[in-house]
Amino acid sequence: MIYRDDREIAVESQSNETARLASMIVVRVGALMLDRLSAREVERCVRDIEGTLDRIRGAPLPDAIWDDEAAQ
Amino acid sequence: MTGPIWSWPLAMLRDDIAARRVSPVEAVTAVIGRIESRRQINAFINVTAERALADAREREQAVMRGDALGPLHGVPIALKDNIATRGVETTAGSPVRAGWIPEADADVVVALRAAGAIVIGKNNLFEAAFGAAHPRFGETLNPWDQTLSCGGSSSGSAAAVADGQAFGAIGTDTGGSIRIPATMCGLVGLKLTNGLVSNRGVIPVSPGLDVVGPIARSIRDAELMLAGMGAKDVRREPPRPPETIGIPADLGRTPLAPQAERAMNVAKRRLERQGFRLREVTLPKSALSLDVMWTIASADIAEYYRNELGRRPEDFCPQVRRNLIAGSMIPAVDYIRARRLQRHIRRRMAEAFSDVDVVLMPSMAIAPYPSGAERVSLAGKEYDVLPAIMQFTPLANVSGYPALIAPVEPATAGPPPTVQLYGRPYEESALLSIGAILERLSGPPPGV
Repeated sequence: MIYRDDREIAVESQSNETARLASMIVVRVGALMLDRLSAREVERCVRDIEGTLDRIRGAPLPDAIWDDEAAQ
Repeated sequence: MTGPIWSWPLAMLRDDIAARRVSPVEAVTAVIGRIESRRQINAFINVTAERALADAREREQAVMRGDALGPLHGVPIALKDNIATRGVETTAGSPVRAGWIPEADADVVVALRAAGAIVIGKNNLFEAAFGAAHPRFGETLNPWDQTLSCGGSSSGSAAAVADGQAFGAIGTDTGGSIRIPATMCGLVGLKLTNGLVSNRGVIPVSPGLDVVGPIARSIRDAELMLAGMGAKDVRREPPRPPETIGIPADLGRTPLAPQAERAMNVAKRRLERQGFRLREVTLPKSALSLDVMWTIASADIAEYYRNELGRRPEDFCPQVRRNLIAGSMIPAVDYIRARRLQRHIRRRMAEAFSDVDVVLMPSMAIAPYPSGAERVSLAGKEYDVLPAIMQFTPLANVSGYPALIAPVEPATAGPPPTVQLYGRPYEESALLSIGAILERLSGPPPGV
């Protein structure tokens, strides 16, 4: 659940990850926007991107020591 | 040539204009009439009829004077509405950009006008070229079958060309946005080598992945469009003629629909009969390319629309708003990892192309699908539409390699089946030469 009052913005969710990412909306997109978003919409945004990011994090890469940039 | 002017091949129109058999004014008038009679397709956001007619009269005078003529002299073309046009509103299909009237043409438009092209109007597209059509501009209908999606994001560009509302169009492609609509409408669509043509003046999705390119009704028409786009002269020697065609060993997550499999088999047989060697090739994983493209593009576009997303989020359609919010949440470390994976994919592509000249692969895993569908059934199982239509396209943007959609069979029910060809950077000519061998045109646009 997301709520806002005059002093603070808080996020509560059964999913810690959803709560963390919804908090990031506040930080990255701006608190102003949070007034106009439903909890359902935030959760859907999280679902949209989390699977992609999990795969990016898990994709194999050579150690950066041997990466192209190390050879520059 | 029989049939109305709007149904003619671009190459024929251009030749007939040069030979003074047809006036550019007649061509523009015919296309405007076609657009007016087919408004329900919703291929255009803005038709610039008066300017096009003025340009046509000027082009006509150039013919009569005997001036040297460019490759697109007098040919009416259309531009995706995320490409800046001087004095003409450019919206990117979004209310947040509506009302913007650029003071200059995009570089590609400068080149096209110098090549003699006449801009007939600005095509409808998915909002911000990233997600879905905004209700303010509406869906574009597929001219072959109005129950089918046009794909996106260059939906209006493909529909206009397929329907005879333009002789060719310029789209943009960040993860497949030229090639998917070209496939859905049975057309030729060319995603150029990244950087071959300037993006200056194109409203960005992701500057390192965005590419402008032609959508046309034939390979020859696409060649003429490319000749007029102001491509940089980056090769000193012409590439050697292609001999070996790679066939991907792994085609990815979603199995091929029967239509896509049949198109691949038709293409393989035709190439073998022409004497090309077919060889299995291992490419970077298509699913990883999609993830890399999505991560980079989502973050880039979220940064571009950051102010609008914060101040007026309700002005974006729900799908695009979700994409932008999701992009805003991508941590820097994940973005950087996606960039590292992109470099890794480029190295793998270079290795794959050490043994082959061109790679043949499907255009999409599924057949053209109904408008609004989010899931499709294949061999008794359900699959998400988005990854299935993007299974073979983002690799070109992430690697920077060029890719071509070419029809391989005439239309029977629905749009003509197509396949996709990947080539080495700056070797678009190799792709077009193979595409011409595979090409089996659908014939004239629907309704002729």
